[in-house]
Amino acid sequence: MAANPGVSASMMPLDDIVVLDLTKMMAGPICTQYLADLGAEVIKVEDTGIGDDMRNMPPFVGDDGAMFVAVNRNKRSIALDLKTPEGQAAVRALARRADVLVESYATGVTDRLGIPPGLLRAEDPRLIYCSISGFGRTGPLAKRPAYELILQAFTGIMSVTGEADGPPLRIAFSPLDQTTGIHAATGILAAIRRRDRTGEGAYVEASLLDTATAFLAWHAQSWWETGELPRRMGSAHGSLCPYQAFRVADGYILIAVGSDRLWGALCDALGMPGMRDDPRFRTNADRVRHFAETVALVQQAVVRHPLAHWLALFEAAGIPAAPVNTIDRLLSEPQLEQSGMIMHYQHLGGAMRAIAYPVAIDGLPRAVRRPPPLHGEHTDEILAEAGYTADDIAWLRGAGIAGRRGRP
Amino acid sequence: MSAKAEGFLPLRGVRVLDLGKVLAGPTCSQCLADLGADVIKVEPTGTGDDTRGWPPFAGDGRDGAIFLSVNRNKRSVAVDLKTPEGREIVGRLLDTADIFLESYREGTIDRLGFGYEQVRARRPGIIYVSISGYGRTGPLSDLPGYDMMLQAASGIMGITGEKGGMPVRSPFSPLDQTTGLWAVIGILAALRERDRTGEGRFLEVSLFDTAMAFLAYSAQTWWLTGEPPRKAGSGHESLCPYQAFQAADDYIMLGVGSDRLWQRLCAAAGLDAHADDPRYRTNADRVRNFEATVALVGDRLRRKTVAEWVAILTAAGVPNAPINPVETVLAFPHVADRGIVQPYQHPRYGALNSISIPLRTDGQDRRVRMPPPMLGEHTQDVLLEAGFTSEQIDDWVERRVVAVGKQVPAGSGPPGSVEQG
Repeated sequence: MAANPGVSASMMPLDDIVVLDLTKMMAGPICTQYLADLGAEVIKVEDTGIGDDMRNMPPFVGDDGAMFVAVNRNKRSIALDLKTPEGQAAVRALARRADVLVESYATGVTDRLGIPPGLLRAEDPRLIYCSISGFGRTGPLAKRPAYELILQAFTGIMSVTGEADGPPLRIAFSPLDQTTGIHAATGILAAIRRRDRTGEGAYVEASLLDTATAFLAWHAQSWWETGELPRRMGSAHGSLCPYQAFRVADGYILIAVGSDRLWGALCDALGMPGMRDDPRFRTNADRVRHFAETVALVQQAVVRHPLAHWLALFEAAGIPAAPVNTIDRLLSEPQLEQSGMIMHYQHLGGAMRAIAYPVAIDGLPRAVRRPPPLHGEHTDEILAEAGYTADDIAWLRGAGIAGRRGRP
Repeated sequence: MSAKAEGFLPLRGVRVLDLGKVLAGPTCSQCLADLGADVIKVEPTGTGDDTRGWPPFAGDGRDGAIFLSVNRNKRSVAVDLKTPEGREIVGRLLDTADIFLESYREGTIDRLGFGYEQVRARRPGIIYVSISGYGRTGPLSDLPGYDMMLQAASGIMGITGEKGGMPVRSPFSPLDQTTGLWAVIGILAALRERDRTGEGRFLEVSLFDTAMAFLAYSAQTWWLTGEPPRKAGSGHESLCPYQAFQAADDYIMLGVGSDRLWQRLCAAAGLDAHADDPRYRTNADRVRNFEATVALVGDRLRRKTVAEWVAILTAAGVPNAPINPVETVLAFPHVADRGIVQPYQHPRYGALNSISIPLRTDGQDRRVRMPPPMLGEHTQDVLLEAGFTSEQIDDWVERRVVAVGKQVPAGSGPPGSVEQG
């Protein structure tokens, strides 16, 4: 907490919570990063080899990949060889000091490491133990290896994404990994609330499969109610019309008509007032019924003028519309600096930027308290806090069981 | 007390006054309701939440699939906030609320008299959550917040799709849904703080901030390299091979996320000769030789069918998947085994299904305590609880200040299904 007094006024309701973070890649680190953003002390345990795999994925900041840097701020790193009995003893010592343990190993690994939830929770009934996995820790698919991409395909998300006749498309921002991390964080926060009141810990499970299925909740509901499969519709929406990309004279524009009032405004703006009261198009349900006709009429109208023309006209008329931005253009929006969503900090002697925790609390500034840790940067201090003597630590380091210091 | 039978309900006793609508707000309040909170959904008289009218519909066509999927475990009160009496009703409900949730267009909530300062003056300690498209301040705050608009404006659409192809929408409204989740995280954090200090908070979440958070690693890449990320079809700019490949009959997804998995893939696919080739040995090597790696693997995978590769790669522990349609997934025994689908009885529509909150606690089953409410179904109950008299309520029904839902005949649903949990 003392690392950056500028953030002391922020909401830090987890400042008494120690999180032992046995995760890597995306979902787990996202979860623990947000717990850290809320004030928790997060100890990231990495192997003594290359550490978290994402350290190794280009492009790099020093020795660490951009994706690693994006999701590991406000944590300390300890590097341990968990294949050795001494490394396992050390992780058990750390677990005994933790309020929350988060792991994202393959199913079965925590048994081999001697830290399965049943055992640790029996030793400490207050422990909140969170497992993050691809398919869940039980059930016929529990042992299947999983990555974001695999789950996008497996769960049917890919079957509804893309153009009707196009090849499979990956949704590029890893929504399943990231949102599984968010769900895990909500589960942990909810469990902390119960523990505050009853003293009882919990076993919390989040998985990419559950997250994907939840994202598809209304597609599932549609399937259950109608027996009709959702299909790929490019940029369009099965329950709203017109709500998609249209070709304009010089590119594309997105138009989102989410209410019948907006439909009226659009008809006026397009100079087609007759359409607003045409019984084929009057309500959203009518337009969904006459989907192709509605889209064709709007398309014919908008293709005559360039993007800038329509953006100005639609903004004046209060009709939701947007160009298809690229990330560089987005990051130059003054909105982002102003809202505090881009944070600035120093790392490896240079100026770095990061995307903030996306909840603004009383309008308070958000800040990076600790840069993403170098591999094993905090091995010594964390072992010392867990009760290891200087001699023990030197021995563990000499034997290669506890990790290297950071590689600047 | 049989806590086990009740499920994981750490928000029992917490009351949410929910003025959200469409998707982001309802996703948030459904999560809170799933965790045990008493959620009072305040809807306009007339047609109620917009999504009630979005097709496809269940049963008699009154409620759409989107509405049904994000409004379980809530009670509905139908009130006309354009009338002074309607606003007084919401004021009275505020007196027992812990959380106030709104997702109106910029400026509207202040005009209605329920801006943060106004609400806090009446109910100190309130946790007030404002959900918007672009946030409540800043140059873009007046813009309307639709999921698809934000997908386009935030750059998400700029990296989704085939090179040179049409803009493609992520078709499950990830920004709406995840903004709802961010609100949940903010609320849970603020509740813990309030438990300790008694102080409330003003929380803001927005589709824009959510999109930014989703793009955090893409942004980091842009800041580091100065190269904006591009559309890459099913591929990933930092991992290879990690994309769709054409097998003999259809596409298969292959996810080689580590060098250990690369070794396994090479062994399983007859590429042993290339496992230690310096062009392909590490992920960084393979990303550098992206086209060559994809060509090498693609040439192999073309030779067998999806079913054959799924068997081979699964046995070898290499992440892979066919591209399943949604109904295939819903029918998986694993989905039933994990309790992901919750069947329940709806008093009007009969047997319905619902997708569970995607976190499981203590291995407990997740259950629907209350079906998605009919419009105004609980107006009467909630107003009586708030201390209004039957006479007042009848007068308001007459003058259309409030609307009451049709009473469901006793015994038409499962026991307790329409009472408050």
